[in-house]
Amino acid sequence: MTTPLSAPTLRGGGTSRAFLEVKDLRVHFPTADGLVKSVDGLSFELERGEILGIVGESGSGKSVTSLAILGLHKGSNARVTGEIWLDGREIVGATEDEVRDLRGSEMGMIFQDPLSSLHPFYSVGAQISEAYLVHTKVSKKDAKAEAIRMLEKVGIPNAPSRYNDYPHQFSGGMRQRAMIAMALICQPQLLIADEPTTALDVTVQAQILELIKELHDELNSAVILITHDLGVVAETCDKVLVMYGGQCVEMGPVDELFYAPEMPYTWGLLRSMPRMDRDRQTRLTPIPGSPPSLINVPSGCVFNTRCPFTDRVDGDRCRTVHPNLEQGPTPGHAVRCHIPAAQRQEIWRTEISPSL
Amino acid sequence: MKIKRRGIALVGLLAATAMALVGCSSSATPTTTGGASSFNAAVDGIVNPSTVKGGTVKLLSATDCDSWDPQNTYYGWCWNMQRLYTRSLLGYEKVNGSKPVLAPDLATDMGTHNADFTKWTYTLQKGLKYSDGTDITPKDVKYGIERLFATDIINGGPASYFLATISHPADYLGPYKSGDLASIVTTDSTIEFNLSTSYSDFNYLMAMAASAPVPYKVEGGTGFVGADYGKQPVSSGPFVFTKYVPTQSVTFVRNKFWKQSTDKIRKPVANEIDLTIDSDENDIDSKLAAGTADARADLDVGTTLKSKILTNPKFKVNADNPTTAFTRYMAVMPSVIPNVYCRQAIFYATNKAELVQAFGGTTAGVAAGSMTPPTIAGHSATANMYNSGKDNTGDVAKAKAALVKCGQPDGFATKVAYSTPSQIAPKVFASLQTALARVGIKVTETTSASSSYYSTFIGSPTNIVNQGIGIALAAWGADFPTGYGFWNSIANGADIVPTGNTNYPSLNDPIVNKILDAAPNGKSTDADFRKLDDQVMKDAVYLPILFGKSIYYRNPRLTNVTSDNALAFGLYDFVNVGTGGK
Amino acid sequence: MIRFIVVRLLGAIVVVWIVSVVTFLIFQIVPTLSHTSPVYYYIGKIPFPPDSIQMKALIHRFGFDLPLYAQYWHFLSGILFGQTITDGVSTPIQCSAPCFGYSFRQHQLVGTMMATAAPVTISLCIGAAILWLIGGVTVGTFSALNPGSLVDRVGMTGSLAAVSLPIFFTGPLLLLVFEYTLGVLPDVSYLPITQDPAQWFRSMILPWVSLAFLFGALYARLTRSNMIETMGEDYIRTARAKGLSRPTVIVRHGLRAAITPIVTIFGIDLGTLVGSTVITETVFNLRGLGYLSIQAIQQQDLPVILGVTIIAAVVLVIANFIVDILYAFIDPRVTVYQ
Repeated sequence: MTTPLSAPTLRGGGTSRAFLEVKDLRVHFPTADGLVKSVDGLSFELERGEILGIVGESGSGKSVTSLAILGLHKGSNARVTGEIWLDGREIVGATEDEVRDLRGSEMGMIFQDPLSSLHPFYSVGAQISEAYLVHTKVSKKDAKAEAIRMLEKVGIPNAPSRYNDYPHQFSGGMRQRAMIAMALICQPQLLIADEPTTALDVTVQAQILELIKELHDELNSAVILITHDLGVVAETCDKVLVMYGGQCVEMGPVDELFYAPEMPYTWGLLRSMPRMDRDRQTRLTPIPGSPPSLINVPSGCVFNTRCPFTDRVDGDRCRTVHPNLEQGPTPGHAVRCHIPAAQRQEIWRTEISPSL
Repeated sequence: MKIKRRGIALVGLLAATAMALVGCSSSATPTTTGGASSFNAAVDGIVNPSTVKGGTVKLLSATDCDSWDPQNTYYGWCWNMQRLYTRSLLGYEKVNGSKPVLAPDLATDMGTHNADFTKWTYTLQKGLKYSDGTDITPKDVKYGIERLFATDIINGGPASYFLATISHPADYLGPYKSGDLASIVTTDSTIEFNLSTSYSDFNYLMAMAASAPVPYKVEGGTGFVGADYGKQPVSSGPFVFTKYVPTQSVTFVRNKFWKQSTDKIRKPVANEIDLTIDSDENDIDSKLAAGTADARADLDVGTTLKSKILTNPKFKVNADNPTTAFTRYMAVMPSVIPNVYCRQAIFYATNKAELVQAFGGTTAGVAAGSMTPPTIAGHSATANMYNSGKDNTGDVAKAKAALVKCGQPDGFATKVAYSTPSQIAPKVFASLQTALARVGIKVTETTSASSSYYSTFIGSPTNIVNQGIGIALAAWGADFPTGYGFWNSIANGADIVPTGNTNYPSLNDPIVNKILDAAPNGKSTDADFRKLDDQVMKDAVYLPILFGKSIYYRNPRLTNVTSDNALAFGLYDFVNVGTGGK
Repeated sequence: MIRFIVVRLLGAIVVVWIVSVVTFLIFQIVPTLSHTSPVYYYIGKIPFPPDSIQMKALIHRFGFDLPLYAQYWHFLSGILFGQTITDGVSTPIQCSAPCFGYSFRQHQLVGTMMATAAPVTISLCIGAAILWLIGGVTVGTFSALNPGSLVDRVGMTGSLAAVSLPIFFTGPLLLLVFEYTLGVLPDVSYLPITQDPAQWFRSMILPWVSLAFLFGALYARLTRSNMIETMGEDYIRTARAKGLSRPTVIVRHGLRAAITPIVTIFGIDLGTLVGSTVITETVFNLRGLGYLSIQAIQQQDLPVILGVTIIAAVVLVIANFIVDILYAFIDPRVTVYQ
């Protein structure tokens, strides 16, 4: 079902929809080996001004989700079902041309590796101007001025001369700043940052995250921050969504997730995080096993093959019945697990929390 | 004499094939203007005799001459063109038929010589002038011949004959470097040649264009001296060489200083002869067929016109297919196949009919039973010592009998040599291979690039033995039509050299040698050369395949047309040709 | 960048010099190996015995009695400074730099022969090159954008066929169809574009198509694989994420990056082609450098063979040089990593 994108935008109050609403998103890729279910039933909401962190291991479906929001799977052989509503416009059913209009102007994206994500043959400035010119009717000179202004804004010194430099002439951190400039020059309402700091040193990491937060404050935009680094999440996000095997297994406000997580996978993530305040001699506790095949997704709970707590559930419901995402006591905190809620909290308090 | 090889361009071949596929379109058929014109009429006779003067003859050729300098050219057709504008002491009065006849040209008579043929004297006619009015003197004749010795500058002509016969100091390198040649003595009206050896055929050298006079020291004027003389050679004949545009055209107009009363061998009637060089052979053929050109000056007709001639009687009547003084043969080497009967087996087994086909069919050659071609002394149309059957396909029985006699009843193996690149030689080899295989003689091929084939491949007796070459393909046309001229370089036992050898089978037969040694002294007759031919055949070292034939086409409007078999392999004698006044 | 260009230029000069030395040596060695005097390769068959004074005079005239380095210097200085060809008697021939000598068989300066033949070959090569570049890249791009589709399969199978068919098949086939059967293109001989552009074009069309067919196939396949690879790159994803239109993404971002190896190959192909259009020129009876070289080889006319070889090598080296420099402009990353 499609909503014509020319319909008046319904913002804020007056509609029941959130600014960004993802409903039961499924992205399946048919391959020679079988159907890869990268995203299998994902739903969440995001309002303007909020920063959502999506956390998960490699292959959990985080990037595929972000690409789906941008409509970048159109034209490929991916099968996308479900609904994605951005500011009242539905994306999954829209045509490529309709979505293209939104890319860059309403939603921007920055990627993990700025060196490979910027075109090596064009100057950084030209690429930023290009992003501006696509959506704004101005002269090239004006676009250039705007691009320089943006470069200055993201903290690149000597912006007018650096405008003409090529991506390989920037350091890693500067490159990422330039990417951010390029993504935000049209002031989109939604910014998706796919592992923006993974390729950078720790010191630079902090600067970039600062920058993202600053710009987010200024524009009051919605931000999705995709990462596998819990530290980043703690620093920056308002809400967190934990993905595993293409599904959301726990979702909630950031404080809840760090101080009252209820899903065994989340516990596993927290336990495998190195911490400054722990005794150096203690071993890290990784989650045993490896991520599931997205072709042969385990039946029942998608985490059951690695979950150390399946014995806390009667029978083999973990292996046979697929748990739903259920709201917990705290608003906004949802968990997908068969272990009864009270028991989960119990386990957290007694077994997990002390060992962190 | 060189026959210019004509490479058949792929396009030409395709054009011919394509046209055959699409079907020959009939172009305008020429009308005969009356006169005795029929197929082969020009070979022995004169077609459309006429005394009507005037007109312009239009000739075409595919390439330019190697040189228009009489001392610097070696192509048969260029020697034919020399007849238009140069005269030598002697010339050919009769060029057609099988017995060309020498006659005096610049000289008053055939000259005199001493008893042992080492001193030759000629008297020049008085009052002869070049086309610019200056006198032709004996000094000019001497100067022209001296130029032949300047081989570092002028090396494209038949200098070797003159170098070998005229007495000269060992280091004489022509007038530019070595000045005057004392062995040639001139007076106001006479010229005397002192030879280093007896040479009864000397008159034939004096009939070559290479003996034409060149103005002493002046040559063609400033800038046209030495190697440049050919750009503006001076004319002593009835026509004047003018308006030369290299690779494009030459115009010959009448020489007002030439008098018919001084010239017994030419009877020109045309006012002008235009030669246009057209590299597109198909274009030449179509112009000939349409009658917009009069004749081709350099080679026989191309494949398109040839097929028209053979199939359309309206064209055939204007064509001639003369047999030329040119033999294709195989040298069979005694150094590799020592037993004469084994060699004879090859002679008997060869399928000459098929070889003639490989060379282009009966219009390209006629199967030969002996080596001497027509116009050469000793030629016999009937001699055929190793008769290869009624239809020339080979006498397998006699071949097998010969093999038994030589002790190899089941045959033997040997190699056949030919020079590359060649489109025809591989076909010839294939035919030979099949023919000889009938009697158990197995042959394989061995080839060499043309640059070295004659000089160091089959021209080296040692190499022949090293490579095991039993049979070598070759061809030979004499530069002047005498028995000695034809045989000496290929059969004289005294002339065998380690490289550049022309006596390929290294024949050293005393009977042959005797006749050849007596010839320069004028002591060998036609009958002697007939005997020589038979003896060479007995020795079974030269297997004649065919005498060459060419097809030429004449515009029916031409008058006084006849074939030049003396100099030019049957090309028409253009100096005498007319157009009926137009 | 300047330093880069200068270094490359010096390298090119050195290569050309080496080619001149090697070519010169080969043509000294070949006559020795075939037991023929090098004089033969200048004036053809000579009826003088090897030790005769006539032979010696000829050898002296052409300088073959000089030591090898002196002969090479004479050859090289001719090319660099020009020379006067003289035999002491006839009018000296002024041969201005670059002088490739004189062909005694054709009675012409080799330079003149090549200057007449070169425009034919250049017309042929450039025309065909434009055709195959545009055609090949277009077919390859369409194939890459629709991999596995009918367009792709037809394009790639067609390319395989074109690459496998030799020019001495496609050439005559085109002639047969268009010239003889359909009569659309009459047999016209080449005329320079300055003289008669219409006839120049008509005489070149079929040769262009035959040659372009052969090369275009390679370029189609190459473009296809490069484009498929490029379109999977991250910066393409970024370009799409910015909202650029599909044609812009394909051409400005995709093709621009995919084309760089093709530009390199194109330059080299074009450079090599100038020296190797022999078959095409023979099939279509075009009197270009290829035809000249074949004629010279058949006649064993050494000065012409030498001249054509050097020219072909120089063109190739220049093409390589230009491609190197061009690559530095196209790909800004190159100059840094010298």
